[in-house]
Amino acid sequence: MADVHGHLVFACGSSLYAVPADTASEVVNVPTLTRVPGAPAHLLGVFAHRGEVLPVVDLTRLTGHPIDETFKRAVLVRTPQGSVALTATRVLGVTTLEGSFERLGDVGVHQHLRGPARAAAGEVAVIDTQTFIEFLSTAG
Amino acid sequence: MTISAEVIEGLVLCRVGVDRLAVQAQEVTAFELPHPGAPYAGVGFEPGALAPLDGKSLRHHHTSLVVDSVEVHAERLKLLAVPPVLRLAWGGALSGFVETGGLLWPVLSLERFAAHTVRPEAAS
Repeated sequence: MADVHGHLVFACGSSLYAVPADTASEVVNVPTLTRVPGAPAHLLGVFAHRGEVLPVVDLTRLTGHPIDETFKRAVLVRTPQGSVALTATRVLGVTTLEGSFERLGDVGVHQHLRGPARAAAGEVAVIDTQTFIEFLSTAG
Repeated sequence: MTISAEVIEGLVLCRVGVDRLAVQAQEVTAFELPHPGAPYAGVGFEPGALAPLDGKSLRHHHTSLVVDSVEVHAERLKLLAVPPVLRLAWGGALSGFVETGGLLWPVLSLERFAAHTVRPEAAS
């Protein structure tokens, strides 16, 4: 499958992720977060950004990888289904990907990850941003 | 994403451990000393959290909710929309967010929040 639009590739912990470049609006430094009662563990909290409340999603908690608390930045993803900030320990930039874009699993968040795609830095899980945010919205 | 332009007036700003929340003042029918068994808002942030002995109880008709301390805020504030991924948090008790004093406060429906604190298994 050709990657004609490009993806923003970033690391979270030991894993690489990518989002379609046209859904990644910016990369921000994460300020002190406000915790929300009753939020699931992968929703670390929220912060106000240009008059909007943005939830911060920890990809390591969500995917079951070892938790990495060293993130200082987040990738803001905007879709018609909503906006989220995804934790990032390193941002590698926009690139075209090669390889597979098949679903990485049939249950949970892995239904919304595709790959394994390849970037210069290694194997990448591509986030299907629209269904990913729908999943987060219904998972509670 | 649509950003709510709703304005909210009259809030009770509550400290809960290191966290905070706000409820609409019109939802609070009385401030009381906490009584044994009253649900503690801290459970919403940390399961098993224990209410302080000197906390305050916010009564809403037949329900109540214990917090650490309260401050009434009378100014009009813009109510920021709940992000879609948080609409189901705590059984949908989140009404929005306000910014005051340089801090962001989650605004909760007291009745729904208290109900889910009593019955955490019912939370989504």
